[in-house]
Amino acid sequence: MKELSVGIIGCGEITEQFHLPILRKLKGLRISWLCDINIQRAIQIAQRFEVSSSYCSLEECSEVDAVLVATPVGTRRKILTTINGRGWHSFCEKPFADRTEAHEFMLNGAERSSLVVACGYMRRYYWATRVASEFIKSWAEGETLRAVASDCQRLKRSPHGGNWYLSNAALSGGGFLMETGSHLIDQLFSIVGAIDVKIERFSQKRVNTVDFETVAIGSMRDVSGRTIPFEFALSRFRDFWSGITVKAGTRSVELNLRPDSPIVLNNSAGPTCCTFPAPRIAMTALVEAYTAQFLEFLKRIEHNDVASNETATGLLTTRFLSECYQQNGGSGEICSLERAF
Amino acid sequence: MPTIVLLGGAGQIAWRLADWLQSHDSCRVEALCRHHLLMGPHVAFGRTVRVFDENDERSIRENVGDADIVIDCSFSQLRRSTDEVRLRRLYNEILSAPSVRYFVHLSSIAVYGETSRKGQLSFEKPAPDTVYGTQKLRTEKLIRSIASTYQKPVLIVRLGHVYGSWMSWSMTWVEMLMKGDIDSQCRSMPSNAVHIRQACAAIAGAIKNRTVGTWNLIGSPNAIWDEVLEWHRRALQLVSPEKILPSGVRLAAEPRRYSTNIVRTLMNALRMSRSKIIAAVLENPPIANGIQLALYRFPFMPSVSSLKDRFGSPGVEAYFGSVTPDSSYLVFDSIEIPGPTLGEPSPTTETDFDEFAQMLRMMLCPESVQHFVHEQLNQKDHGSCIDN
Repeated sequence: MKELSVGIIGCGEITEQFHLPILRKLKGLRISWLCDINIQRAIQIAQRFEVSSSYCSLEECSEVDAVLVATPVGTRRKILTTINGRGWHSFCEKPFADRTEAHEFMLNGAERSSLVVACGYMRRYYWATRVASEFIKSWAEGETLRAVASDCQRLKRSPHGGNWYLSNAALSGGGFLMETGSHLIDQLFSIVGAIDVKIERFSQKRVNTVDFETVAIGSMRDVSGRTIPFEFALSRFRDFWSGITVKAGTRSVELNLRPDSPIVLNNSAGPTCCTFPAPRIAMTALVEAYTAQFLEFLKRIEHNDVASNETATGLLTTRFLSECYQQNGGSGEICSLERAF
Repeated sequence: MPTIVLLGGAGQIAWRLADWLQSHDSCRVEALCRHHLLMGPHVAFGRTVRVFDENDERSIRENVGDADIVIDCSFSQLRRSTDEVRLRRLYNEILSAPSVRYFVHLSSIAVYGETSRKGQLSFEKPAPDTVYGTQKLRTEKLIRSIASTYQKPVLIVRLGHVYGSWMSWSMTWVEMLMKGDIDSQCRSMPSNAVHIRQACAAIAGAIKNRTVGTWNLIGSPNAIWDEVLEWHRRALQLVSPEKILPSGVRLAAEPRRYSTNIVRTLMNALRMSRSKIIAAVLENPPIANGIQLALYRFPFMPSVSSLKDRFGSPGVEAYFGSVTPDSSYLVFDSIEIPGPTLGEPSPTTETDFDEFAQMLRMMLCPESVQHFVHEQLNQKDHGSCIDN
């Protein structure tokens, strides 16, 4: 395969700390330019990572084979429309889109131009995610499954200023659900092999339009047609257990959300229990997950695998997020706290 | 009714202090923080929070202009000269405000240097040996100097390691206990820990009496580190092996790792399949809190009979069972006895302990999340409650 030239749009912390160090070590690709609305930032990062060109406008960027889009989700639609128009394959930071309609619009654009798109749901590549998925597959088909997925990160302090993108609901796509919940629900979908999701009830609390807490119950459907009820909880208000557990009858498999999560098998009917430690420490596991997602993207480009765009970009995840924000046909409750200020 | 403004209002100590002052003293409490995202958790729990820009003198004046008392719970980095300019501006604005009659600054016993490095607890002379301690001491000096300019009474409280519910030190120790990463050499040393409730009560008392000067605040009586850790261990339902085993009985290997997941599973197993679980009952049970479990990790899988030989002693009935189906190395015993509890490791109350244990359950059990989700969804008036 010929060497791919890659451009990077968005020079934030993740680009600096993860994307660039990892991408520049991958064989078969060359980073041609960086693009950021803050040109000083783009130049600074480009110098540090020895990238030859930096731009502040996408229109000025030279031709490449593929781009990494690492800008807030609220800015994606316009950027991806331009990218599709220029015929570049694209890899987006998660979540791919904030609404189903926007997601499908961008997928259609890529499909029309036969372009490969992917999204950075790197938790799919965590060791614990893959092992948990294998356990569930190995359990007898037809067994009743039930899942709990939760994450909390109580806000304690913020090193960011008031213009941080997560302070802006439009830019961040909503708030904590979009930023962190997207990872959590995508990881759950990966583990159980979900192909469909239905939200039955949910409740969300927002402060100044930014969502801080979401709870939901619903059900997923896997390829065998099995319905898997789930409880979902996400909060920046309080502390509670964070992780994913999937129960099958009396058995359960449990993992936390860290890259180096162990797998814990429980059996509530008897004193059996087993913990499988992760084979890698957290940072190594994280770098491996980032690397694996990029390698898969490159492989898909090589095989022009456009058919997997929908799965690779997490359309089901976007559907979940979108339905939460749209109150799921009126059955949900959104509690806005604006009046408090 | 005095107005108390808390700087660093989003921090862990400030919000507990705000709750304490509001519920115990007749005052109006306003928390100040620097970022509006940080207000979210406070607003959700009915607290009043103001956001200010510490780089803007007008914003500072507007937000402390109605304060009678300011309690500074913030920690500002003092690394660059610009940091000092920023802090000087902040404290100047606050201490020059005509309404502000009393100022409390929460510092740290880190200004005395690390206890573990010195090998003893010493509060004789500030000698910071960490960046944090140095910055805290510099901030103290800055405040004293500005306060003397405006002749404002100032109380500086050098806090010990604050533990209890929602305190990050407690979570650090819980994590260490679960990993078995406790340095045994430090365990018998006097601690400088103080429970958050004790800290709040002491600060509130000092405010009432308008105490001035520089004071250290640590738990009283001063517990040793092992007692503080024991408090956390109890909440985790982890029992230190030394407390369970009869005298003269030694462990085959030092326990290196505790797993709360396993504790929880075993607890379930005990409840659901008692006949399969072999309980260990000691003649003079030193521990009683319903069922307690101790997990020991061995480098090999000992047989049950060899364990009985090792751990059994006259008058003690002890049984052990394997908890892994794959001939791994975890062995447990369990105790279920009513009776006297362990001596209280610190002057904290059972309420403090229950609150902490409940918080840990919420953080360690997926079932608690399930319960939380359904509880939230079933609260019909949930939205209107918070909106008010």
